[in-house]
Amino acid sequence: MTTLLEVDDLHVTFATPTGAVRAVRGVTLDVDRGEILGVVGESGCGKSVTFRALLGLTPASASVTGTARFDGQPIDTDGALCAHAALIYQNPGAALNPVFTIGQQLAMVAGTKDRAVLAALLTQASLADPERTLDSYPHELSGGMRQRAVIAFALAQKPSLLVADEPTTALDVTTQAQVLDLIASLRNEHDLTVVLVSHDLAVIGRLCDRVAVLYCGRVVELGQTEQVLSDPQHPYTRALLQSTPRPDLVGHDLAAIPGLVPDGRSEIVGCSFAPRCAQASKECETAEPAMRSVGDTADHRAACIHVAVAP
Amino acid sequence: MNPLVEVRDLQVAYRTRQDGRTRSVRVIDGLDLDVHEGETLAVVGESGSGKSTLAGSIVGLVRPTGGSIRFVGTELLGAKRDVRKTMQRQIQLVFQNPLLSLSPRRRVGFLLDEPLRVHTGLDGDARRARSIELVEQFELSAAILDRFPHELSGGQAQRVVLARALALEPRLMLFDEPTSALDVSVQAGVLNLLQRLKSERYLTYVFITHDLAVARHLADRIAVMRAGEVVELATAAELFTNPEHEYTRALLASSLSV
Repeated sequence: MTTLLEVDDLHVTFATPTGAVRAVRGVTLDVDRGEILGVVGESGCGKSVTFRALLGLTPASASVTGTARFDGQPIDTDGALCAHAALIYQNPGAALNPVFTIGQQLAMVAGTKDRAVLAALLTQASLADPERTLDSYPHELSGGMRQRAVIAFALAQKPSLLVADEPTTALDVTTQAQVLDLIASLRNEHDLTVVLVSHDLAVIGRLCDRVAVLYCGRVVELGQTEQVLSDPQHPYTRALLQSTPRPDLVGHDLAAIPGLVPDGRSEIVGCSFAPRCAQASKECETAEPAMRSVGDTADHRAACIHVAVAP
Repeated sequence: MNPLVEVRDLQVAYRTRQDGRTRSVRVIDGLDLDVHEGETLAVVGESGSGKSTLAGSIVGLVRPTGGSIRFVGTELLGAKRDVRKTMQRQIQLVFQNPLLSLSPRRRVGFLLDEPLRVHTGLDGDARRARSIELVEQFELSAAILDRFPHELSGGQAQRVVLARALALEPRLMLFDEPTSALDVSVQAGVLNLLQRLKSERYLTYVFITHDLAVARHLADRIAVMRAGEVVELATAAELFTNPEHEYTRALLASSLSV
């Protein structure tokens, strides 16, 4: 499998009146062609900002540094990815203009007014009755239909990479399952590569080939989804999994992670998770742990000095 | 033993205007439900199924068009203002977004003091002492009383809202998606806290959620709502192992777990 997108040491810093907020502190990540990569973490860990910066959607107060390559060619990290990638958002209502019909908006993105072409795009996004949907305003559609319309907008740009940022968080469970199935089938039919940003490990587990766990603006664990979810190595990944309600935990306390994600203004020395980690020792506070191969396979990696290195 | 809440033949219709004409949309149509003292009853279903309208009707935020809601035997619908106020104290509702429940211009201390001022005869010092006791029960420090809501994290804000709801020692707590806006790591702490409070104080919970994993974790019984009706009502264990209604099966099939 070849690499489609390589991101190396990406930093995103926002200038604010109360000081510089470092939202992304050195993300290094490869996205393989044709895969669905999950990016997971708590609010404020930098998962959305990473891809928004690459797509050029961060405000002017953000400074973005680092290197990236797309399809082997170096690209500017401050937005050049938007030539190859489309983004779908959490709230499809906010992504659509309320005063134009779906057809009018789709025509602007697709660059054609040909109804047959536009209807075909809606059909690809599994919208039943595309003819009628073209003449509908966003408020006339359900949440699931709006998200499908936004997916059609994304497909109209013929992207090679689709970034889905919490695409189903605002949807009901039944609709969520359908939209996730749609994303999976689009990947197969359109030769798409997908990055799925989500805080929901269950959603990641359902859809993704690999998962990157972000904490405090850095990747702390990366591997095949099945390995990471069944045999998590980094204490943060383990804590996230243990705090999620599961049938076998009924009647027991859930394991809340003590403390908070550190403020983006603070200087972090050593491991960023150490203050909340039950396993933290003196060494954790001195040097920032590097990603190392852990567990049973070489492609399962984690940044924790207490984890046994793969043989 | 009588149930704590008896809902009978509840009807709620909202008026909407469409094309210049007023229409009435039936949101809840003939709903029957009992809530037993001391239980946690989860209400699950999709958006628009009427879950929140049911909670609003019990707490008095929504005016039903028909039916009956009895709380400890007393009819709530059409009750006189003073009866309603006495009952209100015993029924509290917590919403999904804690920051929308807290006035951004008031400090936490004022926000916690308000229900005590309205409903109890305590003087200022006694109310202050009670507020401190409350925040400490919710694993917050007394310093939080001097903060504004925007200075709180999501988990802290939701704890403040819970502390305020419990300040009057209600018998029935209604929760409308109380943890949907929180990260799982924070949600875990809030869910643990709710379990602890319930066993310490013999509270009764009605927990509205679209998250079946959360419902299973907390609930004794689960009511599945669809289009304004309860289509299935069973113990949590039974519902997950042996769902009877087709819609329940569809919901379970689409829910994901780790």
